[in-house]
Amino acid sequence: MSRARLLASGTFVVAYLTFQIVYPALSWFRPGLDRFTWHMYAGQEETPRFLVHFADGSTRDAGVLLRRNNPVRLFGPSVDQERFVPPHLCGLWTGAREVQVRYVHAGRDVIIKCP
Amino acid sequence: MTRALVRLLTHERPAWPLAVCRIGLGTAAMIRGLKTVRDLYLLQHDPAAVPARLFEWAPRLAATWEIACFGLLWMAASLGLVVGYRARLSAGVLLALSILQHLVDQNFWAHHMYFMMLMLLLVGLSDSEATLSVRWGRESSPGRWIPGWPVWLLKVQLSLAYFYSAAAKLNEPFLSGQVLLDRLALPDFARDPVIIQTLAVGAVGVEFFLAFALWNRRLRPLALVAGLFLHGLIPVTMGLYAGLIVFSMMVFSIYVLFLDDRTR
Repeated sequence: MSRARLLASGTFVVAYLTFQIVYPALSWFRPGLDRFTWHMYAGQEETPRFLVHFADGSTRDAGVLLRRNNPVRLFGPSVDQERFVPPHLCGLWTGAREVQVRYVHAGRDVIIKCP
Repeated sequence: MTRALVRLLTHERPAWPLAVCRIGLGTAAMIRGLKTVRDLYLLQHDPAAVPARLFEWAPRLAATWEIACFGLLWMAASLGLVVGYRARLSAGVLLALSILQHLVDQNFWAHHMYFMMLMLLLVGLSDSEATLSVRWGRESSPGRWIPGWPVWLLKVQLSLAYFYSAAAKLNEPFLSGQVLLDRLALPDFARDPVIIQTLAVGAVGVEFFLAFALWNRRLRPLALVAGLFLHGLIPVTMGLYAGLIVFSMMVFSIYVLFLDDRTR
């Protein structure tokens, strides 16, 4: 192996290992850091339920969007659901007034008004 | 330290485990490609699918012909990996397409995709078509030896994923069994708090065990059985989701790298 190739390979190995060891460990100190880590199904973030409240006073449960066969669906677990789902539901269902994002286990609700 | 690094960079390993790993990765990529094409199509045509575009400047891949081109290129590159034809180029193309789909929509962000991208990077840097490939068929030469460091990094990557995955589960919602109750389709008897908590603690224990035991010659057979059981059971209990199947296939592909320890 030539000296240049050895140097390039060595630099890559050290950089790769450093990132793969250090970066996921950062999430121990910075909760919410999920990208480039291995948090799959670790229960660190709760998957919310969505309820849509209509102008006529009725409510429709949009369910958990990561579940197969849910009437409204997401395809990936990493989607920022609070950001992307409410505007979509407001546009999808006529008469929607607001969307309630419900975190059942955390006992937390976020209300997002439709435009 | 420097000596150990030079030894790591210059050692060689038998080519066949990485060739099998390449074939497994290519097959997993094919399955993932089918799901990506389906999801791209549904995001454009099914009102029930929620788009999540993060970057307005990124291409949309909205037209059917664009999705078809993406799919054909993905499948061709996956096939290239499986048969070992221009494997480095194929891995590079798949890596570029994976990055592209991350830019197109956040629906394509997933841990198994990240794992696939890392595997593509490392397989792309290795001589994975030294055997069981088109080149090997043409040359018809017997077993070969290849640079060992990319193989070593693939194995390390799997151990790190196990370790950090187990460490991330050391929290109350997981250890109490709540996550498993939410995610798994379990029979009634398994929903008992004692059983579900035992399952949760057991899952974390198995992941920590796998992170280290795969490297130990004595423990390796037990680790391989435990890993096959764990990754075989997950799609059964969670549902046959493409992402789970793809991840399991990639993990099994790396297990093959642990089967032949010889170096020179």
